[in-house]
Amino acid sequence: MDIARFLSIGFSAIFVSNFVLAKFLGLCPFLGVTQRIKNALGMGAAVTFVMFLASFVTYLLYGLVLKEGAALVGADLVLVLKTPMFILVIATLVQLVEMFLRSRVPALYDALGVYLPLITTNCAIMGVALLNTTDAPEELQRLGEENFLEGLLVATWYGIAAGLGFTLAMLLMSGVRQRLVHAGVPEPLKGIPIAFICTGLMAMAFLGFAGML
Amino acid sequence: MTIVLTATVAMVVLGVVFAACLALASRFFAVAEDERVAPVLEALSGANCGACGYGGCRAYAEAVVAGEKVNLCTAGSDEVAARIASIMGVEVQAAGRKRAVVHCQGGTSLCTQRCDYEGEQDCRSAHLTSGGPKACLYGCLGFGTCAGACPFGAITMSVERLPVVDPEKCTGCGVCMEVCPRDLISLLDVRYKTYLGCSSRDSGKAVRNTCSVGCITCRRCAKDDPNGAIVMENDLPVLDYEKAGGDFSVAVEACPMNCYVVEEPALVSAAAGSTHSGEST
Repeated sequence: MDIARFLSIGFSAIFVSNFVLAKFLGLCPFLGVTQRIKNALGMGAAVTFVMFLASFVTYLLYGLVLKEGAALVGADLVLVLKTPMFILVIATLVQLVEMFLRSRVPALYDALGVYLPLITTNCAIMGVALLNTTDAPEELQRLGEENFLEGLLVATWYGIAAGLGFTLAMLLMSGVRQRLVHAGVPEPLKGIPIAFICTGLMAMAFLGFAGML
Repeated sequence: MTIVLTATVAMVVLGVVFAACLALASRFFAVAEDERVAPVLEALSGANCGACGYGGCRAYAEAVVAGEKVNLCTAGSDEVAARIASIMGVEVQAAGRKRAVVHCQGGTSLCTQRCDYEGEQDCRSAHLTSGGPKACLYGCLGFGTCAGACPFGAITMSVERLPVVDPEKCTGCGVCMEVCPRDLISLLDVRYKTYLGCSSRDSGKAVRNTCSVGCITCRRCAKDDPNGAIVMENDLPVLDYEKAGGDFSVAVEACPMNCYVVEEPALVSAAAGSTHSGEST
């Protein structure tokens, strides 16, 4: 696996197929905690961390337990256990993050509020787990068959890059929304509606990256 | 059948492993929270306004439990202080409730405009647009940003386009103080009724040209005040409320521009100390 391929996976996950602005995953925290740049960054960091560990653990579980002919079990459990097992992993990780923030960064814990436990059901994280395993592009699947460790590395890197892309989108959006507060937005469009319109415009701008890879 | 069995076993094993991890982590990240923090937080207003000097209600609640004074929540006033004091089992220190006062009286009829302004109807925007439309660069711009920011609805805009603070509704949280681009609002103890209604540091001539109720730095109030409680600082009189017990009646009379605002004594509670009758200038 050469470094250029690695970079292109990262670039693709952050810009070209950004989880929020190209795949439209994880819109709930994207609109929920982007009122302030500081909170948006905290949320981005929490999601990136969960994505990183979740993609690592789920790929491991997929290869060792779920897949047909897997090392530990053998039976094809993908259809039956895919969703519950991944959710179990993600929920555990979110609990971990929640405990950490509560004891170490209580201000951020308060600011994120209900959106912190809601990372569990953030579709972006389930999305990255599925895109790494059952819904992976053929190339990655072949890579996983040939060399499990390299597949694990790519999957983990994809998780980190997806998290970074999410953080970037959060950061851009919070910057826009901090300025929107002082802008003369027509009454019916104030708040969430104008945020959605901005999201659409930003997504169109991100389409420009599509030609680069 | 086997698939059900393997699936169940796999999930149980995984669940036990993760539970063990979380149990271990909870040891590391245990929050040793005083059980009094939660009820104190409950008693606070929850506005997170920051007037107490802490970054939000939770931070203040923790500080209270750690020994901070119980009467710092200006938004909740005496009632909240009493409740917190009962939780903490201490006496309430006499709280001086504060309200916001506006240091500008130059309404539309008294202070001139130097240009038309058609931008964003917000004081902060107008202030950034080379100082806004008002001839006085220190005076109230009158777009009501403070009124919009007040979380308690205590500020209304008069026909003169000046903010009017309802001292009954005002909790002294200081949010309006933060948003005013010209720093015209300050917090004053409700016992004190006299304050300066001008913030202009311009020369006397410049003030006379633009505004008929502006401070022209004549220093008469400082000279005439019998208690010596007024000193001139940066061309504006500064009032020392402790010294004179808030009685500035001589200075109010002396001011040739009627810069001082004296609120109606009807608003004073019976317990308040020295006040004086006077017309609102």
